Amino acid sequence: MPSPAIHSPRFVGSRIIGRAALAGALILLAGCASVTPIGELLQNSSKYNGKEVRIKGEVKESAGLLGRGAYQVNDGTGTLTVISETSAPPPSGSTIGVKGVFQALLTLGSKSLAVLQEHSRFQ
Amino acid sequence: MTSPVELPSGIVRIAPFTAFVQRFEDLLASSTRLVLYFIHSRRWRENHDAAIKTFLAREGTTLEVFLPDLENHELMYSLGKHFDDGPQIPGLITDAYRYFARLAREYKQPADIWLFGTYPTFSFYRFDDRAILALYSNTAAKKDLPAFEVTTDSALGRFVDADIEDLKQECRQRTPDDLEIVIDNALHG
Repeated sequence: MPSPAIHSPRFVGSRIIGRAALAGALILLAGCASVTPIGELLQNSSKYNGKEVRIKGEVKESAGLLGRGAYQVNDGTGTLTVISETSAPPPSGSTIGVKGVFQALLTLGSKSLAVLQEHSRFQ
Repeated sequence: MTSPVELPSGIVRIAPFTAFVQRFEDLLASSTRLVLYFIHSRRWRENHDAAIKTFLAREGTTLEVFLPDLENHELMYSLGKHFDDGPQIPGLITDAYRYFARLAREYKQPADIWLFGTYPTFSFYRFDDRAILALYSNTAAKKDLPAFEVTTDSALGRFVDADIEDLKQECRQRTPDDLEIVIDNALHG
């Protein structure tokens, strides 16, 4: 027979709060931990080439050609061109998070010509 | 290759691009003007390197070149998607930049390079009174590309000439010496 204490409103309430706090912490941790600085991507382009990454920064230049939305994101460590196959580019000056596949198109020495193929956006 | 019979369109020859090797040699030997528009055309540059240099060494010849803008990352991405050698294309374009920069150092030509940022629909090689146009495929699958030799005073020839003038308005103009700066600007890190 279960203990009456664990069905008490106080216990249930604290359990819900605990789970919510844990979920919140995990979301926060996941959000922070998975954002990769653009400078890190560009300096280690072969390591990240073809991998899904998340970046976050300011939209510096927004343009769409060839039926695609292309824009540049700067996060203070570097600038990366984002290619969107499905969405219009966000307005210049806005802050945006982008999840996508990092593609190093050309690497010469320690420098890379690279783009991020956008999969989704986050705030 | 079909026999050269001039049609009202100005087309005098239709053949796979690879069948024009000797024709390019003849045109390079007999022409004074050459305007090039292509993505990198590595094979063409390799096949005709000696003839190109002989052409440039002849007095009175001019060379103008249109190449993709390496700083346009969206164009680089799109080109990479549409060719079977896609991942190599930015590197091959860099190689083309350096090839023409070397020619400019040795022969003072081309004096300027135009960098285009729109997706190319065909390539062309414009000589004095003939031009050779080669189609690009709409898919990434490798295939023989058809090419046409046209007279420059025909409808197709005038179309190419109009394109050249329009491209000079739309493209970024750089000296061959500036191409290393373009390469450097295109790269981050």
